[in-house]
Amino acid sequence: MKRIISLMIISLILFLSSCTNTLVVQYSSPIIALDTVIDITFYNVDNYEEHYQKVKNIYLEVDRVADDFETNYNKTSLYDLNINRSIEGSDLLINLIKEAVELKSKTNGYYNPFIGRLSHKWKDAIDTGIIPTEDEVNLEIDIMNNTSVLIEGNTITLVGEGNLDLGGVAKGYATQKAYEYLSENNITSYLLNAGQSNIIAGDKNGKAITLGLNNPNDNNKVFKKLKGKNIIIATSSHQYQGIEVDGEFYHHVINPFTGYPDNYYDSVSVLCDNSMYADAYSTAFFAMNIEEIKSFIGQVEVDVILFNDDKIVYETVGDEYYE
Amino acid sequence: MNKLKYDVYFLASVFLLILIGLAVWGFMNLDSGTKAIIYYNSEVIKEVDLSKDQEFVIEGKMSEMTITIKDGRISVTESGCENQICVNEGYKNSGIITCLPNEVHIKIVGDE
Repeated sequence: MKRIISLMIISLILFLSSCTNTLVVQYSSPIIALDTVIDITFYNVDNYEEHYQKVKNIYLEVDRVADDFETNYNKTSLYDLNINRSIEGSDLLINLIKEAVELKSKTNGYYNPFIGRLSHKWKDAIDTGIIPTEDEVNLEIDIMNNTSVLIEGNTITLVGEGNLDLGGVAKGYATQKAYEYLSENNITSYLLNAGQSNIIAGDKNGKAITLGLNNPNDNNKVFKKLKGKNIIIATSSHQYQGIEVDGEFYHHVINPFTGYPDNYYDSVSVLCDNSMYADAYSTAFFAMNIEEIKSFIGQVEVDVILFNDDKIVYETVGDEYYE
Repeated sequence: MNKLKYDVYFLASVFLLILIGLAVWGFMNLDSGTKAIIYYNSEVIKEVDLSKDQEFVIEGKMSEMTITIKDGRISVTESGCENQICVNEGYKNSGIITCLPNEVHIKIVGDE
């Protein structure tokens, strides 16, 4: 009889311990913000709906101020700043602009937030197929180089004729804020995917997550798999936003020195410990050749995966990437 | 004495049955196979198994959309939206297919 009771106790312990290891995948509805689709999946997280809502709010708040195509309800978006040249901005917009300006100097100008007018010109060109002339491009570069921003209290003023574009950092900034929120709440088991371009892979109920990097020329082909925990990765690619005119391929990632898009790579992925830096670096690296990137990553702690013509042309990470 | 013995056997059987029930319930809740969750404006409107070839029509915000499942992959094969980004995504077996004008998202899950 004692044997039966002890057997019951042992099996109960075994069952309960197996229960704690069962993976519970918690999906949530995609978030639409910053011109992209953000998806977060939690694993075995208590009250995950509450955390999903907090993460969603972070993206929506950044979206409200960083939009350079639309005003927001109290006229304090980046669009309003570009139109009115001076606005009373929120702390969030001020922080974003400060980070963007700092990243311009950190990347030696390869990421340039004052590229607003030029990037709009290229977006129009991709839509219409009419490529801007060299004179138009040179004029825009001149305007960009003679533009700066002044922040006094909450007053943001654009000096010069150029416009700000926070496209290279806003998504990374929001993703970093989401990461910080989740870390502060001791949530580590999740996969956060902001439009494929900004991804944070925490862990899967304590186990490593495998990420597949897609070939931008073929959605169904994975060219690289990364396995690890706490992977912070950003990717820039010409996927979805490009046009071929007279045999030349033009896309939306513009080199701020030449004013034209470069075709060194099909995609550039950057791994580091900050999603916003990864975002800005991946944009900056798109305009650098391999030697320039090699020399740059000697000075900062980042890893890269450069992909072109269906192959990896340079990488500093193996298949296993553990933090 | 005998009665007590039977009671223990009975208790053990009930316990075993509960255990099996819990195990089956746990197994059913595991992520099994690849499926697609279709959202319209944040609400789940349909879940489909990608192992069964099929075609169906859903109602988006501005047009109907034809969804086709073939060989374990899913695609938007027809949509009345202007830019056709969702249709141009082709057949996929991972990630998300989005039609922003129709506010429809197809999230492929289970293959993680």
